Amino acid sequence: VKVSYFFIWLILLFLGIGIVNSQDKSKSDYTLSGTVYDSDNSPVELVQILVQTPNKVTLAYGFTNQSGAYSLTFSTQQDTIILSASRIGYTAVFIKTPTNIGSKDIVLSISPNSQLSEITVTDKGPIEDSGDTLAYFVSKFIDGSEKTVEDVIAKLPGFSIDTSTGKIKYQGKEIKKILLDGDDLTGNNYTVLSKNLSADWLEEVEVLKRFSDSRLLQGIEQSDDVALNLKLKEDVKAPIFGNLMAGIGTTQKYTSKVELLSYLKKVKLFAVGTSNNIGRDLETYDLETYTSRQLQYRGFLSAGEILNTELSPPTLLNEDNFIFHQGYFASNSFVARPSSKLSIRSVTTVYDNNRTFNFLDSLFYILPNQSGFSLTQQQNQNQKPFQLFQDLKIDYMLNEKTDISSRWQLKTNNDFINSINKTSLSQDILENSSNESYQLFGNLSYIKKINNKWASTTDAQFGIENQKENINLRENEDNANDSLFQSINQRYYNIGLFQKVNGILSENLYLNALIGASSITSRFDATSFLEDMTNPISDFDDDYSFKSLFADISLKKKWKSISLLSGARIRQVWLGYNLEKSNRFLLEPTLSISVENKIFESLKFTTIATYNREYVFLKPNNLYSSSLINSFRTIKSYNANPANPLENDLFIFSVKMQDFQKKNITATIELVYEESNEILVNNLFFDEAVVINNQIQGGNSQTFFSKYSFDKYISKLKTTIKLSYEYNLITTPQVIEENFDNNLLSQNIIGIKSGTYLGSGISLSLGFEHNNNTNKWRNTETNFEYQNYFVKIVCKPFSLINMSFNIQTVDFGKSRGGFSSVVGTKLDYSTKNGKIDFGLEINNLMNNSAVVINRLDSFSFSSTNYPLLKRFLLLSLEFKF
Amino acid sequence: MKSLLPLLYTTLVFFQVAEAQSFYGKAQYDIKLFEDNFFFDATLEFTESESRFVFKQHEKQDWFRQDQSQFKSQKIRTDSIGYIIYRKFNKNKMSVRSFCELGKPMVYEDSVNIKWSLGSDTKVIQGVACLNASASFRGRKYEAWYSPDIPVNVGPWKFSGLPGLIIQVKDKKENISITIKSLDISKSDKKIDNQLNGLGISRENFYKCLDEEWVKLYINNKAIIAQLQAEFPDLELSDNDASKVRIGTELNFKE
Repeated sequence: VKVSYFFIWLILLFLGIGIVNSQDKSKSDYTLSGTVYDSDNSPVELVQILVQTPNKVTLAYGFTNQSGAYSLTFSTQQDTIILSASRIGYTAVFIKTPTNIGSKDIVLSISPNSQLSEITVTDKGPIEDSGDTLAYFVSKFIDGSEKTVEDVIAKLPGFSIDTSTGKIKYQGKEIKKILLDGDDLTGNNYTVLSKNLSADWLEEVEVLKRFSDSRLLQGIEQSDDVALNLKLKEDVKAPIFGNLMAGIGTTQKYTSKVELLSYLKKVKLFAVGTSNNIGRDLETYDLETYTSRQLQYRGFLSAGEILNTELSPPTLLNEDNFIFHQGYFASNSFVARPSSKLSIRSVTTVYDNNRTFNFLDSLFYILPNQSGFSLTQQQNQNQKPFQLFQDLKIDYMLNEKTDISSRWQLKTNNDFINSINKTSLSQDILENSSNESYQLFGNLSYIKKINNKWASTTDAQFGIENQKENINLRENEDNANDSLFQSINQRYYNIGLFQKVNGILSENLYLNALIGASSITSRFDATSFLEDMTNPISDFDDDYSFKSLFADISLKKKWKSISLLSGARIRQVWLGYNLEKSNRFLLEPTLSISVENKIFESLKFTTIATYNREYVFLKPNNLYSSSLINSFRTIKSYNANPANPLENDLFIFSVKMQDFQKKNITATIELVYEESNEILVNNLFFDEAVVINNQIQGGNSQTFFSKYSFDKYISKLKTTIKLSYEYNLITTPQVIEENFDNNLLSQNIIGIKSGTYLGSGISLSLGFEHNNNTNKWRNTETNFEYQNYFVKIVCKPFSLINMSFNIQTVDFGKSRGGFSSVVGTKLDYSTKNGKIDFGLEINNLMNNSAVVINRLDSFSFSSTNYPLLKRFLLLSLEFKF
Repeated sequence: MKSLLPLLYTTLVFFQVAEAQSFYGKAQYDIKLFEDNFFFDATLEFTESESRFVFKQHEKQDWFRQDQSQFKSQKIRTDSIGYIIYRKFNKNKMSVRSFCELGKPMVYEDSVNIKWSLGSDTKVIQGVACLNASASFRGRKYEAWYSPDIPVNVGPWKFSGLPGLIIQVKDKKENISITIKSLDISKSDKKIDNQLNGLGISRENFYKCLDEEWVKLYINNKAIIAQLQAEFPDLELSDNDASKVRIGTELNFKE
């Protein structure tokens, strides 16, 4: 069966290639000559003569001589041509004529209104499109209230930003990197740049399509990666420049930020340090080590967290208003080129914080047979994360055709959480937990350009990870007998050797092959015990090993506007879980067809249809069968087979359109259907306030995801409009108290955002999102909807003063809690030279004590009171140097 | 950079008061040739019959441009009139005013016939809708963007021969880059100054002079480095691997 699959793919591939091969018809040569006269019958010299096809492809051109004569020779298959004659000051003449006409005299008349009617000039666009590079001129889109690069990018047509992770997408595709004036300072961890670099420096954002990391693979590798290049204003660039900001406020609030950039001949540097307790700009950025998607595909695994310790402020309103933290974040990124052959890139970040987060939650569990129970819980959390991250990459050019590259990454993470949890069904539960981990990743690459058509990359990679999670729960501080301990330790050792070959087999036929071997060994230890008991409640060690040998081969054929990609990953895996041993042979095919074309002269569109099958094996943190504590009231265990991978079939159809020459529009349609088999199914039991989840493998789910977005910049109105609509339909099995049924979730999300410059220094930003969710499980159907509104007004009452006022509101409807709003305002005064900026900010203008955020998922409804940071007034001073 | 639209709008208004046959166009460009470390302001004037491209004018004959922040500098031999390329369209030749030795402007005749290959890519540069074209010219490959809506056989530096005003030219490695930054076309009988003051010389002799000057400069630099190195043995001194032979914008004159 596997062999026949492979043959089907080969046949499809060659069919595709066969379909797209054809030969040009023969062309004929023609000569066209004549004389151009004016209305007085005098010959006109230096008239521009163009011979074009009806679809405006220029076949020949020239200018008339002193006698007004012209003679042009051209080849074409067309039966008719367009002959045009134009000269400044005369009305241009366009004549449709048979191709073989031979000679044609033309009479030009002086422009009747004496205007230069031939010259059609568009206003300088806010976006310049030159094929694989798009340039956004930032000044056309901003209102002056943007703090960071991320704030600017969010306003550009075609971009979307995931507010929780900071990941940036361009036309639905996540970008790979952000370059700073052409240099890659941060690698894949580009959020360090997008979330910290001041918007003030920015002049232009370039989108680089078909971005290739390696100089040697350019032109050979068929890359679909997108990268951004930030171009800073020329007048700010200096050996050292940056800014310094400090602020102090009522209720003991403070903020400070230092930003330093250096543009030296051999070094480019970006450093930032920030510290505050006003809820802003302190983030861990989820810095990526070897957990990248690319390494997962090569067979590497990393630990998954068992404890649920995440502080989750509501995503519907700006996070700054909720988490009360006090700490600092510092980062230093640089690229140094000591010689023309050597390049060193380093990213170092340190993050130390002390966060408090409190909330009051009313929960209603929806149980089978229309029953349910309610619960209130209050959590007062204190979290002290500390993270250190170092990424070092050294590239050395051995010769013109060979590069060697070495990369090292280290991340250590310590997190200590203390919380007091109260529920309506039990006494106070004190929870102390910790999560300590480190990850080390190393990579050595040897890249060789064999000739102009072939290149090879050899990678030797390894990853080591250790994660230790402890939790201690006790009901009463004085009674240690009730104290429950759990300790989990996960260790991973990954090693792999990979050989990649990129080649051009013939004109427009490309090969991409990756052959590799990887090996993972892992250990998962868990111990739980009551403090005064000598015997543990549970104590187990799981040993896991995963070895794979794979070949991933794909061929891409391009024919005019059509590209066809066909390939497969063939894997042989050997799996060991404690005493069980097994092996599997897997075939994971992929097929993709894309069409790139242009309609209406300037509207570019790309249509892509893709199918892909992938098998995903469960990791040790999804395999343990003994119960482990997740949080103070949830317990989880698994009933799964390590040799049984999840089987995902993915179908994607997308259409991307853009016209930045005439209409300034970008539009994306994305339809995704995924069918997954052998997935884990939630099997829930409720023991009073305790949720017991025994996940069982064996279910299947269907997901249909569709997103339609349309962005337009209207230059006359100085307005950017972003419209989006999402419709999602997700079917997943769910078991509650031994009742099984498929849960059907349908979501409709409509989003409208706009930014307008109204004139006289006033800008208006508006945002609206309508979210409607319907859940159906057994006979229970629940519907939940809300509206999210955002209004921001920025004005300049005087030339040096900038005022902004913003309102964020969520409306859950009258019966479900009504409106929750947060209002803030800011006033800035800049000196004439723009070097010094005074800021006055008032947070939570209405001084509301909390906002209420409601949620509804498949088996519970919750209404949570999130306390807001109390109103404070903050005075700040910023100095640019 | 400012939009061209207001300038063109002014142009349209101007045109309402005069006859249409004669016109006068003035375009400003930023130009950087291979031998330059900086962009220079340039002006292209053109009428229906002639054009004049002027750049690198400076009061000092030995102009030293420096940018400490970018560690770059350049010595430019010029004068207040500057480097000029003058073309009369009905002749196949252009007159070029340039500098080899200090304070001695020279004028040579050059014959240029670039064989452009027209493309179908479009791009809006400085508000002007352009089409692309490419050509090999004197040893380098160039991509140009021209405006078919401005039907003149005119372009910056030695470039012309496209069906429309050349808005931008770059070589493949972007060592050479010329881009328009403003444009004004008005009805006028204004004539272009065709005077190019300087010593007449053949093109071959002018480039021979440039090559000789380069060798002198190269030897002089080596001598200075050797002298400094002897004085300061711990310092690492280099001339940035300067070539022994001059490499200019025009590598050969075969095409």
